Amino acid sequence: MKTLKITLFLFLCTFIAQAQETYKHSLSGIKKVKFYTDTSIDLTVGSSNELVISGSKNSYQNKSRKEKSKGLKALYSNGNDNTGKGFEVTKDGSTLIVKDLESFMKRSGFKVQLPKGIDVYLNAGNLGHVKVDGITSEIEIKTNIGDIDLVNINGPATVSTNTGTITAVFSTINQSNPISFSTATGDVDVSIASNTKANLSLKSTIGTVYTDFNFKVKKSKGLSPVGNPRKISTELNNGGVLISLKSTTGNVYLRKK
Amino acid sequence: MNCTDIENKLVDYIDGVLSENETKTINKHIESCSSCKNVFNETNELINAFTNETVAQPTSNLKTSFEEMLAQEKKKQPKVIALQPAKRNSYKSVLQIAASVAILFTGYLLGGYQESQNSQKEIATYQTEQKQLKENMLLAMIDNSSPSTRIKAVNYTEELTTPDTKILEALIDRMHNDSNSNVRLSAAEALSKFTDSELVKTSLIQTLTTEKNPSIQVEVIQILVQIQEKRALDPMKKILEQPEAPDYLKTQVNIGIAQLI
Repeated sequence: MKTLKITLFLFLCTFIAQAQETYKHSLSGIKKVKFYTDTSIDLTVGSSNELVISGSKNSYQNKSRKEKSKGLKALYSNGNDNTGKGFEVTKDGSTLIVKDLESFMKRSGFKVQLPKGIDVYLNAGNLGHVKVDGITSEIEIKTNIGDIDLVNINGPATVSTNTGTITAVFSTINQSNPISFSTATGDVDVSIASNTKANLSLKSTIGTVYTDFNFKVKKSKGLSPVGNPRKISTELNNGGVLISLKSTTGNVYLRKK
Repeated sequence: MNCTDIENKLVDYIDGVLSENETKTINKHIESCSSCKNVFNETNELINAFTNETVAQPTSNLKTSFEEMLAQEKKKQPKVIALQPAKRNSYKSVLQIAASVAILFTGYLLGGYQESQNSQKEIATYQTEQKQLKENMLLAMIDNSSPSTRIKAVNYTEELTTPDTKILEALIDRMHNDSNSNVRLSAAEALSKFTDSELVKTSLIQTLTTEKNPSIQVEVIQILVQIQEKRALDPMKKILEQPEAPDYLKTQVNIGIAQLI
């Protein structure tokens, strides 16, 4: 009986999740999608050639309040809601710009699905975290305090955060353009295949660089002044695309996958 | 055959070298034409006179007097002086040979020099063209919308030993104005290799007052401390006064100030 109740409950949950409103936008002719929000973004790969935003359930929106807003239009100071979901979606050439108009208090994160070959720019504002899984083209991410969690990506990736920690697990690495991660006070934790060809540039000004790779570090010549840029430069498997991992006060971890 | 033809052939007729037909026609003509007969008779007489004339032999007297005259003439001739080649001094000829060798050699060298100068010019123009091409490519990439492409372009500049002002200005522009902090950081790192340039030094000092990202601030402070740039002291002290500056940044500033004084 108990199991039946749980199954019913789970079923109900999925039903509610399914019932949650999703927003879809065709991506024909679009090469890059940019997101601006103050809340967390969870980006995964979808099967269709469209942008799907879901899970943007408003935490404060109870039923009676929904009734009240019926027939009315939401107004925002920072843009024009043309989706009915608190997002402003505009097209600039081959770029689609998705701007979250809701306050981070009201929207506690949302999920996005995109085809894997599309370039993305994710700006999670002051508080948002970012998760990306499976995007194979160029990724650019910016957060302030939010953590960044990347899985099954290929690069190029340009990720910067102020206090967030950057974690990334790469599948094969695209050799076309560099990968660069930087955080001021967070850690950088990157896993790559042991046969990856790369020029590594690892640096932590105050913290430490850790790795389970076996490579020789090119020693800097001559005496170095106090507080010298403690950059570690080396070639991995005879060199390749530049992978630059930097943390000012945090640690840098480079792992074999 | 008319009379003139006959007259032309009369000599041959008399000599008997004409063909039978011609001889017969001339025979007939001479029988009938009186004028031609006259001409024939005159010619015949003349030829007979030639053949009958005996060749006159010079007398022995004449021969001896001729030889005497020849001897006399020979005596009259001035003595012929053989032109002896002028005596050459041996050192002169050595010099001459040396000079000709020297001329030959100079010619060869001059030719070679001009050739190499030309080829050097060609190589130089080729190299500048290539550098120009690379720089143009770089300037195009540095404005690309993809941040990784911009970082790639910024990293390319580290391969240049003497980038021109255009490149430096593009790098400084990236360091000051790029929307992506990783690009700004890479540009600052790239510029740290060209701190001989005053333009680069002042732009780095300026970054201290405008940049708000602590990672970049720390990087720039380290660069300026490394080149012992005293002008960085003022903007560094101002960072210490900023309430929003994080502690680790202030620590770096203090370490930097201690090293600069």
